[in-house]
Amino acid sequence: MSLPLPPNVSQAQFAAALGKFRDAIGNRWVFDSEDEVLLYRDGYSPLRDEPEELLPSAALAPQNVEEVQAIVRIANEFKIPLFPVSTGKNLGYGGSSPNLSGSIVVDLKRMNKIIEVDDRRHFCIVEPGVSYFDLYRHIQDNKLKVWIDCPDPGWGSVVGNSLDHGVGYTYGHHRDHFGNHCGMEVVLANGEVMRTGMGAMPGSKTWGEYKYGYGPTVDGLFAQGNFGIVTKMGFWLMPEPEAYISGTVSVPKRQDLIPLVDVVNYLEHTGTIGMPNYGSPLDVLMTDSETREFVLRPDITDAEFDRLAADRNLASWTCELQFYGAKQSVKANWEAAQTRLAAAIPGCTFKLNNEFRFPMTPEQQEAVHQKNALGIPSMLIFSQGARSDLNPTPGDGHLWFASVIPKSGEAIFEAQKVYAKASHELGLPPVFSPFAFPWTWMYRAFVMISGLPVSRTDMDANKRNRKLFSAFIKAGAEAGYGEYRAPPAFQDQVSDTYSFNSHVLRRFTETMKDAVDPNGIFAPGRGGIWPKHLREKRK
Amino acid sequence: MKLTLSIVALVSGLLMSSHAQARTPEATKIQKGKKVYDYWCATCHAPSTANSKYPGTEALKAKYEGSLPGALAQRTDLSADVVKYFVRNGVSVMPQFRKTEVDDADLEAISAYLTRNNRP
Repeated sequence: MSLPLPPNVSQAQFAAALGKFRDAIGNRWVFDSEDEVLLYRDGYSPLRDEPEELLPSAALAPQNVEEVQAIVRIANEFKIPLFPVSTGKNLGYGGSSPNLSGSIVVDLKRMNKIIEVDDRRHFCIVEPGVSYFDLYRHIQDNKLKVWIDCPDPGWGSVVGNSLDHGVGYTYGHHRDHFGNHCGMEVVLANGEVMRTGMGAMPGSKTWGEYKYGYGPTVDGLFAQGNFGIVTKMGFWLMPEPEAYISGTVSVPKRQDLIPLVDVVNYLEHTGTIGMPNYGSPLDVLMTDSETREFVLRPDITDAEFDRLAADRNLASWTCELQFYGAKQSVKANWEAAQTRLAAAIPGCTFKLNNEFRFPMTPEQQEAVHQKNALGIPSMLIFSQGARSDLNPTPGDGHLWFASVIPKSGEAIFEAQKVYAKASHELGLPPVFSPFAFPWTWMYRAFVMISGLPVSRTDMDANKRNRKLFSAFIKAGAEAGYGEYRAPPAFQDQVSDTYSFNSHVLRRFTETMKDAVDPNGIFAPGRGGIWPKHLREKRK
Repeated sequence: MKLTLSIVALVSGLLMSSHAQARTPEATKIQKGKKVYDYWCATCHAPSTANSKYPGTEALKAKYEGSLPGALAQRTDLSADVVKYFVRNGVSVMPQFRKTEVDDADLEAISAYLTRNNRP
């Protein structure tokens, strides 16, 4: 396989640029041989081994801000696009591959300093190479009284996850990893270092505490955008609570989902509970072909769904509620939640699941099944795709299709139908069944998410799933849903759906892009934003 | 009592020191390999417990249907080439690892650790 060159850059110019990069950061940290550069291809690429596969031309691994600045200046000189990654673990959303083939990856893994963790004011400031595991171990080793909120899996970058609008599993705003950040340091396209929020004030003592500083906030440009290379970020942390309990409410009828969501919304938005986890005990029935055929009939009624549940003594829906706080208040809140739910939904039942006290010993942490609810990073999510007794022929990864829908039971039912119809129109079985339930990482919206499989060897399957992914984006947009995140191959299409007033939002950001990054060196195409001279690349 | 403790500390210090002097380059490499393995690999490949079913371990258990241990560190049949291949190429849902994560010296050390119990 031959590696691509950066667009409009000759082999001689490329070699000259690599020489300058070597002088700037050291020969060891300039990767240009095929075997080294291919380590940066997206392990879950839906375009693997096809001519359109997004591949870098080289990779650079600076160890400090000054080296990042030097890289940016050289890239400007040669007009070579750079694609920064923090740790490159954004699997399912592109991994470490660029949006534009021939870009040079700037791998920030070596910039891995934990600059500060404050367990009295509850914030941290970290570099991009710090993973959730690193930050967690630092907190544990130093017996600090704070929790992190981590995504699945936990090996990704705290900064990188935030910059792709990543999400987690604990309490309220902590789950919104970009919303929960507080100040950043960025290397701009001209090589200058900028700090935002209170970091913009020399000598400020509140970088990790007050995010706005003074004047317009520009932090959003650096998330799912291509306006700079973020080299430090502050984040708010959650104080370690005294106690946690979780309990599950089960409701008997299909339409009970509507009041269930309403009451759980109330509990969550009043701060009573952390992340609610919805479920459908009927979903397992989809593995039985006869039942599957029965429930996939377009004319199936709610009464038939209810009979299906009653005949098997199963609940139609469940929701796990999680309580964090003082040991007295978590129990009181669990009781109050039961009272409110019982008043709204006849026949609902309750079960207490877990009760924990903190701090936990390492042995207790290891014994916890639902680690992410307690901010304990793990890799257990890989169980869902890896080989197992239930999954004897695993795929080679997946593309996350993640659609933001309203936080209501009605919206869940509608989204199930919208996406089932999109699958049906392509002659494919539904990815979202009538029992599909939303994920609740976002504090104020639901996400209907599914991992469409990718293969390292079956290009036909990849083509089929790319087509389905595109069809889902289109069907979702027609129904009023948008994706919150997408793999590079689909970022233009997703960006296209945010088209109010003739794409004024994208025109606005691209006007800024041309002004502050005139050579278009930062991640052309990321977030659907293309620099002027490469705008024809938009798919 | 204090004197006893001091003597114990002195003796154990001497023992550790002589042990360190006796450590072979291979033993040092294995020790480094375990450290790198614990950081990068064990999060998926550690022995499973009741509530922590490590995905890499469970995948290999399913693949070999119990004929080989699921946890990599318990294997005695791995070769350095096999370890290198999977670290640099990945397999199934496991992606490849870059040199900023596991450099070539780390990879050699991981191989030394995972092949430490192989029969000659």
